[in-house]
Amino acid sequence: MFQRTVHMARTFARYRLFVALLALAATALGAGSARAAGAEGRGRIELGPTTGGRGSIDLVTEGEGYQGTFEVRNVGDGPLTVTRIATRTSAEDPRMPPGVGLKEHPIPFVLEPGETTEVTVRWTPGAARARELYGHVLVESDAVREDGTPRLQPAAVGLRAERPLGLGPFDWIGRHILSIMTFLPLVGVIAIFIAHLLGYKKDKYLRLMTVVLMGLEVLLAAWLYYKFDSRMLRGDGNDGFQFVDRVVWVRSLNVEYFVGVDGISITMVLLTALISFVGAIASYSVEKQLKGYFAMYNLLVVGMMGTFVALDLLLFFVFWEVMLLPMYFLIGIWGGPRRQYAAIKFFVYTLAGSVFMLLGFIFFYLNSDPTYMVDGQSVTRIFAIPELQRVAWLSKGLLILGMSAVKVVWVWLFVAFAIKIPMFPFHTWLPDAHVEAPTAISVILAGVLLKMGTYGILRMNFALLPEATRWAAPAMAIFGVINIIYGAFCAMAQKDLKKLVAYSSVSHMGFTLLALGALTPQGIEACLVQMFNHGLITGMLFTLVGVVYDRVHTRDLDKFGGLAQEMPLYSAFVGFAFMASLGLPGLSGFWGEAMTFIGSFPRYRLLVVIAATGVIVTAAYHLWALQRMFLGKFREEWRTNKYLEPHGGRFPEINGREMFSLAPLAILVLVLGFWPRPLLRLIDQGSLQVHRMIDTGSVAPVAALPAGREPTVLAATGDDTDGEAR
Amino acid sequence: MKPLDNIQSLGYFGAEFALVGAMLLVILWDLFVKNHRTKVLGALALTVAALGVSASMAGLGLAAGTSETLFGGLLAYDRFSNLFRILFAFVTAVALLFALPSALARPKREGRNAAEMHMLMLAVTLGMNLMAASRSLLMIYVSLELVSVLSFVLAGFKLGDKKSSEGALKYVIYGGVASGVMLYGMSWVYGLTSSLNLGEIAVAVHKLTVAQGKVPEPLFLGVVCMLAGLGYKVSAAPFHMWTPDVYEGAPTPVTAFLSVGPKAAGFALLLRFFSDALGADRAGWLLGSDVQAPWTIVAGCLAMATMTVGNLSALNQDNVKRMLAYSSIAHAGYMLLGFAVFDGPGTTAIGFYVFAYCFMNLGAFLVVMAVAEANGGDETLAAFRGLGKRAPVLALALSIFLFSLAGVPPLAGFVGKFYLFSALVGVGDTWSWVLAVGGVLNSLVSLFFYARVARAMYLTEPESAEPVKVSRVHGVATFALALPTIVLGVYWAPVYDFVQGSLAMVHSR
Repeated sequence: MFQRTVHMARTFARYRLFVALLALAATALGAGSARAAGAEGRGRIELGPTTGGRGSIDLVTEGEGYQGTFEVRNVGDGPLTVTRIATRTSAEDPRMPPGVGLKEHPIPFVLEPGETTEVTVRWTPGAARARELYGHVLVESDAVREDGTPRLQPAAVGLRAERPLGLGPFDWIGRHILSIMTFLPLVGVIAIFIAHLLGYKKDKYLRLMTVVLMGLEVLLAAWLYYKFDSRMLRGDGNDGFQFVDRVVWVRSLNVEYFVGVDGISITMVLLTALISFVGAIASYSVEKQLKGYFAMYNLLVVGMMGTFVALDLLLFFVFWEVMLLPMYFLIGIWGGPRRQYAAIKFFVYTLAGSVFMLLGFIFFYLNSDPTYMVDGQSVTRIFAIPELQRVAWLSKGLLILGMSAVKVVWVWLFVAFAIKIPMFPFHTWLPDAHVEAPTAISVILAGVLLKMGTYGILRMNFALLPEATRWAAPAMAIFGVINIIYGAFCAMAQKDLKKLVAYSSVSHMGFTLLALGALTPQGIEACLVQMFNHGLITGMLFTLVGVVYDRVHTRDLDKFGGLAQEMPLYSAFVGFAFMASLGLPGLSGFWGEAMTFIGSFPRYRLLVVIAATGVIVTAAYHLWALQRMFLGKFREEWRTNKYLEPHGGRFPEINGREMFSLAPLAILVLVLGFWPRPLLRLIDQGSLQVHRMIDTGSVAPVAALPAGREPTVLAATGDDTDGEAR
Repeated sequence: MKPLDNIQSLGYFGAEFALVGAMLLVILWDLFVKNHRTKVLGALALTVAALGVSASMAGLGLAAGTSETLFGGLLAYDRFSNLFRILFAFVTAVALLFALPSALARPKREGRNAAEMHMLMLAVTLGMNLMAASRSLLMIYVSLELVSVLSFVLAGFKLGDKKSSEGALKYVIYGGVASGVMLYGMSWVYGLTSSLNLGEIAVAVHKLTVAQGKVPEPLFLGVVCMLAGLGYKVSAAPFHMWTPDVYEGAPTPVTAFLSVGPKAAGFALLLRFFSDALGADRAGWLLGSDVQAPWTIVAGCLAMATMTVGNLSALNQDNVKRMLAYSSIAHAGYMLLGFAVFDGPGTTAIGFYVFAYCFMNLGAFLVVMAVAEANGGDETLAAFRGLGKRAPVLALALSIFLFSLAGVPPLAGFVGKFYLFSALVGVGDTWSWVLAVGGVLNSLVSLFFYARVARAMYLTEPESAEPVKVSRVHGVATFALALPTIVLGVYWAPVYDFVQGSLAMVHSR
């Protein structure tokens, strides 16, 4: 071989001119053949709006419905045969609202290189529930990718349409209401920063601004409540989410800005708005560094609101962490004597959970199935929760460090959320944080932040890993009961009123865990009801604790006595809140506990019986505290107390501002106590849907399962927890 | 693709010529100008101009995507080297801007001439450029030594300051040992492959590996010895001992520079050596055969040790500068995590992290310097007490930098760490999971000492209530570094895509 080559080379060298000519010819031929090869090239497909470029198309009003046109372009160097154009939805897995169709188009057709054709999509909403449309049109063809390999999935283009809300020029507010509610407080943060740079000194106006912003949030929330369609199901399109805002955020990581509400999150959004408003009013007792305080307060609200509306895992994580830092500073700077310890403890506990949550999210991202981003770009990985819900995680059979991946990830996520709830044994940060935090921050902490834990479990653990949820349900219930009993007994042992309320939170949040562990529709509904009501009631309790602390700078129960004669109105409020907290029928606290027992009794009889004894202890410590504080004999040494001197030695009665911050909560507690329908209405469908997911492992609301999603049970574990449920 | 000969190569060497030219001009300027203010400003203008020219030439090269081998195979001219040229020019310019107020304020400060510093920094930048472009063991050694020797001088820049001299001496001794070990390792590699050229080494390594069915032990030994030298440059454990003392002793602008510039250059060199000579990125770690190379384990162990040592040692530091020194060791560890993956996502994650790290770490040192200057050189935690009241904007900026270093979203550091961890999780085997969990736990630990500074700034009362005065240069520079730290945390796509597109290296012989 080698000799032959050498020989050839010598021959060539001898006929240099000839070789040169040959080379020239070869070059010419090569160029020609390259062109010839081009003719046999493959077509590449590109979809986009008729105005050029890529991206999703907006459907605009056209007669009875909405219509839009997109282009199919052949950007390759060969012909492209389009074999099928269809909307990305099916009866088994309805991804978009009904009534979306394509104008007739001859199929199949061939596009020459550079040629385009237009396809028209029409949405006739008719009786469709969905107010908006997010979906894809798929175009199947013989196109190849840029590197010449075949496409893994058909090309797609995103569709978007929104029906008007009837607000005229303010329609955009309604369309983006969740984004506006999330980022409205950020306006406050920026305003305060600018005020600081300009050297603005009248801080009390910044306080007023915050109250106004939070008032606006409540108004927006009220409108959201009014417009929320509680009967919308997954099958009605958009995966059952409403008020969706969805755009691509970071393309290289397939992250979307994706927010929306459904039956699980709507109550939390409303609660956040309300509690933030109450907290802003309660913040009037803060006196130092107002600029910093209100900047942090507003930022905190951004984080909380964002956490409840985010439907993209990375977005969720960002909001989750955004909430963390302001909380650290709010406790650490404006808190009580041991504020530094409490702040760092809160911070480290939550962060310890969230780093593992992040690993879990990365796991979801990297192992997700190929799908499309909202604008139609095909991707192999995604963070969007509705897409991840369609992935059959268990059947992937993945392992982490030799253990079943779904279980490991479930535990990671659960620990992150359990810290937040807080579940025994991760609860120790809570009493410290509550005792040291200023009143308004305690209200937020107990009213909203604890709910992020249960919300996260419902949104992530239940919806993404249903099989592992069934595997772990008994553990959840057992921890729930420990929380109830342990929290109640701890509360009973407290002398500090605020610590008592803090432990009562531990106890009450135990009900949500027990309810979740039951895996029944009533249980899930009970969890959501308990979350909402506990938010209202503890909000009241912490505000009331703040009232007395502001007056005499102590919360020691044993130092009080006979306050009922001094502050009759205040005593009435406390009595009301305590009754609500111990679950007196007729006040809203009753429903959460009662429904928990109803929901979990069929599954865990013994546990429910044990938990029920917790109710007795709960009643005991509430009444005992009430007795120690308000009944009995008033102690005369208070008359000479230095804090009461300006008031002539008398306890000043609860004032107008304080009542104003309590009133909305108290009214809601009373109304929902007798007539819980307005709350249950929102939750009913949401809890049913979650139950359906974990019960069958199915994502679709109809009986048939999508391909590849078998109702598998974690049989390998050998325990028979699942059998007990049936 | 044939390597260009010496004459042809000159056309691609413009960025380096600009630096060398400016060095000579700065020396001349120093000789002939008497007025101190004019001297410093002129030297700075010359330096920044040269850096600007260097960066923009690199930018042009990057845009053109040219890929050549220069000087008969000694140096590479590719997107990768150009990307790092831009980064080095930026880092050097920022560090010199940091130093400006103190250079102006004190003529002949500590017995040194301010223009000297500019000259030295230019020379280090030249060395770093060469490090990122080296494609030959010889060039690697020469460029590394160029950077090291000049760094010794810079570290001991405070004449008469005991800490500074101590740090510089430690730096010299450690540097000598490390470069000796590295040279020894290189001799093993050369002995096995009989070439200095990375491309030829790659071919020989491949042949040997396939022939023996495993990575030959002598090669393993040689590479590990070389890692000692490179690990010294990026301050990876156990070659990190010099870092805290040098960082604490050196003038803060120099510390800021050392913690970012030479470290990034070290990573550039590591990246090129692993991917070019060991063929790590082309066939994963498999070297084109079924052989599992041991480098994942080596890099992983190095990363784990570095992170852990850095973070745990930082926990108890009262001097903020020293704390940041340990933190920079820990960050070297995070970046080394990317080497345990070393395919597309891994290298891009390292590249992106280097960028994010550059902003946040420079920023943190800048604020520390501003605070120390206002407190008469006090760099301990006590100087930061109540900074939230005394200088709210400065404190806010430092919190942003520190929490970004800790990896809290939505800041640049979080995104960087996210890519690193997701690269590990993407591999998905046991070792990668162990590393990922280790990295996550480490970033949790790191939060303690970053939060300590935040606590001192916001949660404790200041000893004096008077506001901290900050020079305008520092104020603007702080803002200019804080902004990208936030923006990269919220919308990083363009930068990530840019880095991803710029990591292409030449691989020819």
